[in-house]
Amino acid sequence: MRAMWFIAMKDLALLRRDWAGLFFAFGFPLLIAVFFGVIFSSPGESRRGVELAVVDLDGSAASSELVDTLGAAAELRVRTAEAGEGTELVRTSKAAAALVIEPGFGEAHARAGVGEPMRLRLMVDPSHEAEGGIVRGAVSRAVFADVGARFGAGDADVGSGLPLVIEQEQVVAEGRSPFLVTFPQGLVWGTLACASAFGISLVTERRQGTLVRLRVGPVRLWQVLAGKGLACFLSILAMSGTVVLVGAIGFGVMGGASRLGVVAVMVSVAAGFVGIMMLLAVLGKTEASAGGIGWAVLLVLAMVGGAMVPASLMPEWLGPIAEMSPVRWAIVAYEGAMWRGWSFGALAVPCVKLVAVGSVCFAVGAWVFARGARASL
Amino acid sequence: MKTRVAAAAPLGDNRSVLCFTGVEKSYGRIRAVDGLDLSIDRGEVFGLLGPNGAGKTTSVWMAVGLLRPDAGTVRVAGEDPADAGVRRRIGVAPQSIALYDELTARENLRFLGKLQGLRRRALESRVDELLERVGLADRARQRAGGFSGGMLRRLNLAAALVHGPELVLLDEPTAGVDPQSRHSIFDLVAWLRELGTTVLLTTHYLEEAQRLCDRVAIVDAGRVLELGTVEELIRRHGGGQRVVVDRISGREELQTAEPMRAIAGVLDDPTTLGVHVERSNLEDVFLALTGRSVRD
Repeated sequence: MRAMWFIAMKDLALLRRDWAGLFFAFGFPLLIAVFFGVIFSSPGESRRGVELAVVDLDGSAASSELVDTLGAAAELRVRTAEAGEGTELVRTSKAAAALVIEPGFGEAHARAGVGEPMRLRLMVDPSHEAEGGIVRGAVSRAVFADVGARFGAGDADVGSGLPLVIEQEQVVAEGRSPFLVTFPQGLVWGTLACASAFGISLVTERRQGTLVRLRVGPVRLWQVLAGKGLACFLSILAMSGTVVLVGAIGFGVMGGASRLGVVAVMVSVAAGFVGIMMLLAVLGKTEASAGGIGWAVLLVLAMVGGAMVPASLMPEWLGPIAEMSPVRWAIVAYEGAMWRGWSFGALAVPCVKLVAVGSVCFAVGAWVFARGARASL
Repeated sequence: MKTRVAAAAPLGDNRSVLCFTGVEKSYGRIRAVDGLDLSIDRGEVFGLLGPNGAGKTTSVWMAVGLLRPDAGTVRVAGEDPADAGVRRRIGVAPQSIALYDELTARENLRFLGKLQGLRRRALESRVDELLERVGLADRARQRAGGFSGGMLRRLNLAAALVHGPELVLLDEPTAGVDPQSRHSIFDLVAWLRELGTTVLLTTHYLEEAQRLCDRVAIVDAGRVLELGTVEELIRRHGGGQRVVVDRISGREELQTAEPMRAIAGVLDDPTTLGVHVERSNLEDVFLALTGRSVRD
């Protein structure tokens, strides 16, 4: 029992000496809890709202009223669109969902609950299912509040049948599957795992003394770092290639994809995250803290970037920050190349951002690492 | 099978292969090296002998160009060791084991040899030779992570020699090793001497310096206190021979220039259990120079 106690005390003492590890064990969870708690609990804080395109094919007074009601909903950001435009807005990620008010909506509204129900068609980006649920909720609330009020006021035209049907469909090209959403996300998570392993290997190289061994050879420090970065870059490419190959053969994710575009995105994402991890690795003193820091920062980037929590639930002020998340750029770029049908020009924007940020991070990280390596002799 | 790797050009014609001139180096307020002047000749096995913290390792890092002196110069065959071309001719075995645990002994040496520019048959032949030399030929395919401390130390040394360097820096090469590995390392240094390789060896083991080194510099607090062959140092500071008398009451040491006379004086004493003569050694020299033991 005493031995167990001594071992526990020794391990706690070691943890206490590792400041980065200590922060990520105690400070970081607290920070995350408070930060996201503040984000989700501020009652007066305006949310970004779900981007919803509304196509009114009915043109009746009832449909106009529905558009106005939805426009006033706090959780939505409504824009009107022409027939056929809604699908395009969703496909190009300019709207999370599009609501089509079908012809006949006004007539059905007049006899709500009697005969044909009011029909709406909701088109949702498969990567924004959560936002789709929010839209369904808002639409149902608007319609049922109106119908309920009329029923309560004794409107003779209102019956007790089903007044509303919302048909939901995913906006993907014909023959596409939900794997189109999961594979880009899987690729990004795989990239984060490879990058994290790279960060840890850098710390290992320093801790086990092999970095000094390499430096006393005819090898410059930048060559050592570039070599390690290259290994990480290649491992990310190998992982991405394997995932895409499996996705293409087994799940049809490359059906309408731009192959060259996907390769360009793979290269950009790999370059970007090698650089980012280089910067994060220098913050860790031990392998454990380097890995912890890497994952912690990347998780925050993923959360802020909307990979874990719908961006529409974030406060408005977080919008520009979310747009700056490399995790978001990576997912958007993969989706753009794999199924959104983006042009090379459109793909170039997230790709160039990733490469640029990766290059800057790599340069800064290498500089800090070199300083640390000299000081550790 | 012997391979003299000829990848590197000779280190010039200078007699002095490694030269420290007025070298100073501090870490913050701590002065690690304080006016070091040393010149190590071609083919010499030179010992830097001193206690921990004497500045030996700092001197090694400066000799290979990883650390810049605050003052003074370090030259390898008259050139700056920070230059990659010069560094290629130097081999370093750091005090801490610097190997890849997940690679086998052969893979470790092969990787480091490739970095040094060795290729194919020359590399394989050199790796085989070194594994044989350090007694690890039968363990060549085992991962370094499973080796004992002594085996790791021997492999660490072999890694410094893989490219056939002309100047070898061994930082505490026998620290914490078993007797078998110690002898293997001694044999390796003897082999390097045969090959005409210049060796700088740092140690705080007096026996090691006495046995291996042609010349020794005794360093303390970053300064060279004395320099010369082991015989010269003992002659200057060792105080000759001493007679060691084991009595019932304990051991007594008699410093004397006439040991036979001293022995005759104690033999009649009935409390004498035994008597023998010891030559002075580097421990005595160090004690005389610093007033304390090298292990203090």
